[in-house]
Amino acid sequence: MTHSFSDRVPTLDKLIRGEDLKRCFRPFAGTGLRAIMAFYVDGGLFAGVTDDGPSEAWEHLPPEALLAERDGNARFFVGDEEFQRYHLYAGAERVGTLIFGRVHETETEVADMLVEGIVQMVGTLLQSGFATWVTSELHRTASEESYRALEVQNLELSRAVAHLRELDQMKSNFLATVSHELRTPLTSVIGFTDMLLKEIAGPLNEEQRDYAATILERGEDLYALITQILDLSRIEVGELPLDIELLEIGAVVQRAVRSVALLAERAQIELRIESSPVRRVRGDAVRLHQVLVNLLSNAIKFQATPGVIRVQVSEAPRQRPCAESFFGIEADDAVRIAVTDEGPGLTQEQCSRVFDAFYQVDASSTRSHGGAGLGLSIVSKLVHAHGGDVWAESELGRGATFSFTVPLAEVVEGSPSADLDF
Amino acid sequence: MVRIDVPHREVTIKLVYYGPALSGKTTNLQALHRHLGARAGSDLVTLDTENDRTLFFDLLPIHFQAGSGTKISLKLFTVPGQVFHRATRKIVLQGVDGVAFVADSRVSETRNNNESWLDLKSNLKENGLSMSKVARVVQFNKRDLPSVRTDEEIATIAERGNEPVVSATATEGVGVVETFMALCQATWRSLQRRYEIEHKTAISGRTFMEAIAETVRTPYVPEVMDP
Repeated sequence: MTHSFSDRVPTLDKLIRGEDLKRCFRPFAGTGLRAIMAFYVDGGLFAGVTDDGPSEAWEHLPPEALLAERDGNARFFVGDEEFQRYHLYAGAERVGTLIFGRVHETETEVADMLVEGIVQMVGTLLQSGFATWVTSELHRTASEESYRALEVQNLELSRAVAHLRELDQMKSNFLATVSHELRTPLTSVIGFTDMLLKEIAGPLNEEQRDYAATILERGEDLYALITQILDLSRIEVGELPLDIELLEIGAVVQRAVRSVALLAERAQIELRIESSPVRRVRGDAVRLHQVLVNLLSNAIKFQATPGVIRVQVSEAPRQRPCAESFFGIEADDAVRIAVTDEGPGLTQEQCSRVFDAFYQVDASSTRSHGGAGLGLSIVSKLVHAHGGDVWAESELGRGATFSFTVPLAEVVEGSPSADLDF
Repeated sequence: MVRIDVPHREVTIKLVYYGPALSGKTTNLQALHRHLGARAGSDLVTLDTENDRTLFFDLLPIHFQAGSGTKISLKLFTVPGQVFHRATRKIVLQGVDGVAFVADSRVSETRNNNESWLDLKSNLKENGLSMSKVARVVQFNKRDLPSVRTDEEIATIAERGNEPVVSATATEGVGVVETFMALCQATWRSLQRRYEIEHKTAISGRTFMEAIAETVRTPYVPEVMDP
């Protein structure tokens, strides 16, 4: 068990600086006092001024002083020189010894007054030093105790976090395995339904065709959902490496737009690409295609029909815009792709949460638009894995713009620390 | 907030060096302290920590006399720039009279400069102050590094705001005194506007700046500083 700070005794150097004490002594040296010296309790010299005489070489209290101490004498002699000793206190504890060397010729009365004055002065300095020391010790003790309590808490928390991480990993592994296992039989369901619809097994009547078409459609929906879960869990366990290559992002955008063209056409939505010349990026074409298709499908889902969804491609800063631009605009070190719809829009809070896994703007949107709230979470993880940023800007009733950036190839190549792997 | 002690003829002014992490705020105070030598009248109090990063703040008190014996004390503080020390920055900003914003000139630091400027605005607001009530000077530091904003770009930024803008390389002491003088000048003007300090202290802006110039041993050129 540690001692309470109140049991501890400070050493002289904790109460006052040696230099400061010496400065206080100096004016009195030679005024009838040959030496003024302060020693630690263990006898070592702390600070002092001394004229010539035997005390000049003292690094410790002389044996004569120790004898005088034992005999209870205030005065002692070393050779012909007369010395006087006083105890130094801090609080109630003795912290040192003060020694005065007396000059015989000086009037005794004056020297006595000087000694008395200096003893009082040093005493006052030590007591105020003691008050400061006690206060700081009190704070230090309190801090140490809080620190220890925090350490215990931290240890518990890190154990809990480690346990949760382990569980999270198990969850992701489980999801990856189960999703894979679910997909395999589902492929057969979809495949055979497709064969039924193609009437390979013989003609279907209208009702049978209708049922089979519904099975196929719902099966494909389920397949897409399982694929998303599989992707997310693979990303989380770090099993989805990026196939990084030099890319013309314009080509990726056009391919993605073509992929959703039919969906848009059915909904009477025009997809408009507005592209300015951009430099090449480094990225995984398949994953960036996935990001774009996801954003476009979302936009189509929420777009008022008939209407226009715009896809803008331009060079821009890698991070999302800052509300302040006093010190200028950041350099364009990435390509920004922005997908803007004319849908119902989002609130500020929704904009900041929409990339969280399983987040749905509201429960009714799940019913009317479907989806498990995983798409944007996957988008966010894929974009960040490329070293880019992704964000949503919107106002209720005024549509929404989902933007993401992919760093320019020359920027990525210029920074060897850029980590593109999961 | 400025403290004007009429009976004792003392004026105390609080100045804060603000800016993003590692932009050179402490370096500015250290360079100024070196330049002042014994004339500062006190030591630079640096409460820094491991890794030499400022955890609380640095304080450089500067004392001098202006006019017919009025004692002026300038308290120069720095704030810790790292994002998570926001609470400390807010406390240090309380009652500030003038702010020197030390920006990092490198283009790559644009974002950090902008975010710190935004942080300054919001901390002033939370302290019941505003940018318009507090004197401001902007220093573009680290001019010696590669990939910095050009002089033309800095001129454009200077035109956009009302703040005096100074270029500096604080590690070599370049621009440090100029920033300090511009800050003193802007602060005195702002105190005159808000509290009519010249009337209360019987010290004109020119007398104040001449006393500063004498303390920092740098010529005061009114026609440039005081258009």
